[in-house]
Amino acid sequence: MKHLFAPLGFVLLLLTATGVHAQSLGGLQIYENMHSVTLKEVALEGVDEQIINYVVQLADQENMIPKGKTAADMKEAVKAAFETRLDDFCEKYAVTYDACPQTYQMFRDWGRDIIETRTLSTDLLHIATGYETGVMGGMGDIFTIAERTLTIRNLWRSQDDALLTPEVFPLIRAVPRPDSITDGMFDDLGAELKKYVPNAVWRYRYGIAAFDKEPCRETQGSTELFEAIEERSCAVEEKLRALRDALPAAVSEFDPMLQRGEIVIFPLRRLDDPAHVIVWMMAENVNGEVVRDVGLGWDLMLESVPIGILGGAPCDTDKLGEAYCTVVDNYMVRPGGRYEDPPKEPGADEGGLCQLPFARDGYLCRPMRPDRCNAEIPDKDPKSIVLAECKPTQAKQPVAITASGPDVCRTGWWRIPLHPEEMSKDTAEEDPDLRPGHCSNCVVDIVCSESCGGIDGFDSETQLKDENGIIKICLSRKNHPSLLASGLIHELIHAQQLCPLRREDTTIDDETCCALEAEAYRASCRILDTNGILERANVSIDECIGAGANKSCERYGKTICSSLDTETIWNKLMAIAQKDTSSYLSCDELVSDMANKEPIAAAMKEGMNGACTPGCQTKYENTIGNNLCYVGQCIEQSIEQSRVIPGRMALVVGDESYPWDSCAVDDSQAGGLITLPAVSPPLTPAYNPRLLVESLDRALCQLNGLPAQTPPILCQFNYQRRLNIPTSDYVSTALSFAAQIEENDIPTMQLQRMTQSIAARIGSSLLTRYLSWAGSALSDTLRTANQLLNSMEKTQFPLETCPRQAVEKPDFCSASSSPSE
Amino acid sequence: MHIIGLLTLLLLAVLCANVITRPKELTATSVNLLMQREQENSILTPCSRFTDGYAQLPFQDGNFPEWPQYYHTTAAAVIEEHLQSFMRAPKCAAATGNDVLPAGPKLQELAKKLPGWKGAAVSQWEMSSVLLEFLRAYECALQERLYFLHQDAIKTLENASSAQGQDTAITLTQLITQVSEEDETIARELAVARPTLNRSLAVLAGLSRLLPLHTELQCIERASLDIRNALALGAEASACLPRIWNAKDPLRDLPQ
Repeated sequence: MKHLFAPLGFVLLLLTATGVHAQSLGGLQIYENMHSVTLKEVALEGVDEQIINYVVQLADQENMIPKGKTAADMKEAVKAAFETRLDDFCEKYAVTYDACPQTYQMFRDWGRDIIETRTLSTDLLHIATGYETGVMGGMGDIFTIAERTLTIRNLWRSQDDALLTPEVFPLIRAVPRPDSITDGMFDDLGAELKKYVPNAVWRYRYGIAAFDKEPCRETQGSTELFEAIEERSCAVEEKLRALRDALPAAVSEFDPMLQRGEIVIFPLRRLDDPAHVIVWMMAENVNGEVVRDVGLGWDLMLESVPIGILGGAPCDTDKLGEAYCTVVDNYMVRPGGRYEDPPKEPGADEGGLCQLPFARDGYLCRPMRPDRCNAEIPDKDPKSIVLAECKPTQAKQPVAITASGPDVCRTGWWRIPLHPEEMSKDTAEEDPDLRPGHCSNCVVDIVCSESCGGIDGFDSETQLKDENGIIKICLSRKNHPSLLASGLIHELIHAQQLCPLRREDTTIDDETCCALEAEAYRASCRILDTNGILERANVSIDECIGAGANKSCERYGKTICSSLDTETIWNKLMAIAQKDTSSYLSCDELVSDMANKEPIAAAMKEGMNGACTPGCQTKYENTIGNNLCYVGQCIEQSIEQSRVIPGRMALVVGDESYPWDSCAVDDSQAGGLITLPAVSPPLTPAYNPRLLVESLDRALCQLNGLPAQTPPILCQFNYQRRLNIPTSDYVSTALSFAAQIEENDIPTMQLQRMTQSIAARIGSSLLTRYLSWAGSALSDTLRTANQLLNSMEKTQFPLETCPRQAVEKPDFCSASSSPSE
Repeated sequence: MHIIGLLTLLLLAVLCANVITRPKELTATSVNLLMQREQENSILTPCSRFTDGYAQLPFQDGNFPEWPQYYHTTAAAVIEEHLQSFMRAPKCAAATGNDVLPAGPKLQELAKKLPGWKGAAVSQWEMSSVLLEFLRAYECALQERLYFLHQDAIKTLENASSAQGQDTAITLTQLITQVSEEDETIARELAVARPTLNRSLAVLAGLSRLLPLHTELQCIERASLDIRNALALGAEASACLPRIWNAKDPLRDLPQ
């Protein structure tokens, strides 16, 4: 039995997507940059042309340009002032010597003021970069927490997880760059790009897909951040498009084929010139179509575009005032510097940050969904501001039951179809010649029909297995296309439930109905969720399952499976589905090309084959979860279908079938005492800003040795104290009075420092509480895995089998049970 | 008259306060005291360049013009190395958290010259603390140079003259020029060094808070790969399960 598929999958993700990270980061020169910024700010060294122009324009506005001098002359004078050449300045400025030092100092002050403002804006951008890098989900960052987390998650996952976990994680795969993308293409891009750095990097950091709708019109030269990020550079766009067009364009060009919603990331590429610029490329299967995109990014974004100080016309007088706009319009200077209004933050449908594969799952791009929280926050403080809270559904949920105990990974989503061509034998019409292969007890015949006699709008049906082992699934052509895939998967689950059973063993009562339907709806509701229908209908997965099961088991009574308002929920779902105008396949298209159009359904058909049946192959992606699925199915198939120790069936519990049954080696009890961690999504801890401010107020009073007062400003230092309570002599009173400022300064300084410390500790405490919850399940699982693997390592297998003939001597027992390595 | 009297008293008081708060000059006794305190507590030692604790830093009498270059180059190199640490593979099997990501060679070299880390291992997590301590030492050295500026300037000029084989007599003009240049350098360095480091650390603080998490995730990732490979072997073994289903066809030898 050949079973292991060794995919490149996430090993490639490790090797290729992070390939750029393996390179040296060298030359970011953070310290050197900051040193130069500080020198400019403190000593007016290396001041750029913009600042000089700004001071000249201000001097013009203040009528301080002497007669006979031009703006160009003034530039030289301002430069001299910045370079502390007083004599030169006086000579170039040509005013009386008395007025010269005063003007000299004034120009320097103007320069220093605007540099301070600009430095503040770049400082804030740098701090934001420090805090956002790694967690923003931007492509090409020097490290990405989301990418690492997803890599770990993908190493652990089994595709069947989707049925059990309330979270929806994107499927992400790394694929090497196609050969058609050459180094020369990146060099060409770099050559164009360096003319427009950093503006073009800002502009195309979210990809170029959003620009396809409008033809390119060149706009360049902005010196202000929010103008710069609205510019376009046609040459750069052209080079980026060339890269994008070289990426695979069809689902079938990827191996294995791209699943619906799956994202492909190609290795990031750092450009040689300009330095620290990254080119990223991705592709995604959106409803069967491959959507590709290419964009730019920084490994560490330190190339800020500072605040605008020049230009700015036309000026909005309503917003900025007439006086301000007069200066802007007449002198082309923005006094004090100004940022334009930021562009509107794009939503999930409008591109921008939410286009990026890691960022799109961030809180900015994804609304809180009811199924993401499954518990209320305990002991909530009445004064707290709760960032996220949901109430769990109180409805009783049906429990899935199966014929012979739990079925590990039965849906088969974890498997990859081995022979897609076999699928094509099943057409949209009835195929009476289909017969099960030797790996399976049944074969599924999917038929598209005008009506199947099921629920209105979700009309599909699975018939019992016939004498030839055929399970017929009927899908109605009248169902809305948005519900077709979900209906097919629902019925395939039923087929899996029926496959191992004989026709006469299939008895259904209300409890069985609920259990069987709940299992099927768990899968089909997940598909509706992935397609966004549940979110638009504001229905959680649990509600969808409960309502669906009620609807399907209506013949046993109303709300027999779950105490939910079934009609309301169901009608909402159907209404949203009917309004869905996305392109979906018809029933005939879906069935005739299932392997390509709906790989999950194809995997489910594959799942009908026993994973461990001798002579049958199984193929799956090499992940921890999938390996466990395989091991689990093998063990289950062994225990449920075979007796692994020779002998007859015992008559009563405790009987030995044969005396030498006891020859079996003692159960090693591996994993016997292991408790599986609970599956519970983490909650954001309660955040109580009012309490925090109150504690700060108390601290202020304590610092001044006073009890808490309201308002806390009353605890501020009383400057009249020494006058009201003078000391015994003038000298000490005067000294005390003179030292009052310092006395006041000390607690103020302490409070400022303490506030930062308190804030940092509160932030850390919130993060710790979040992580201790979020990380505990993973750490428990790791511990359990470690324990199990250790037990497996220590398991000793006997070399001799138990005797199977009654005539054999009983002392074989002791011989066969002696363990050895 | 009362007001004039009060003002006079205030003036006197301020003058007195000035005299009282005037910084004391360093003497041999005070240097001995500093050294004694350093021996008592090497971590919170006063940061004098005349004490053993800071003797390994190259802020010496004869090389003042090189101080700024040395300080800024070292700080820049340590910060650059810190950024590279995001790419460095952690030692996931380390016994303690600090050993998971040991300091890079540049940080280690610098830390060894500072009293706080002389006898202790330094981790990459401590980069900010080491640099702030280095800055403190630099500022102390500059401040001390300022205290003894004239004496040190004379010594510098004398050394320079004797190195060139000239007469060591110093003119007042030479002294004033030297003092003025050094004074300007010290003032500028005192104004620039701390804001520069603060700015750099402001960017790095955001990144560095994620460094432990990033390191842990790398270790979990590697552990996950190991577990995956072990389970793949387990799956390979479980493919043999059908062969033991039928116990009549034993895989193993019957006892002889």
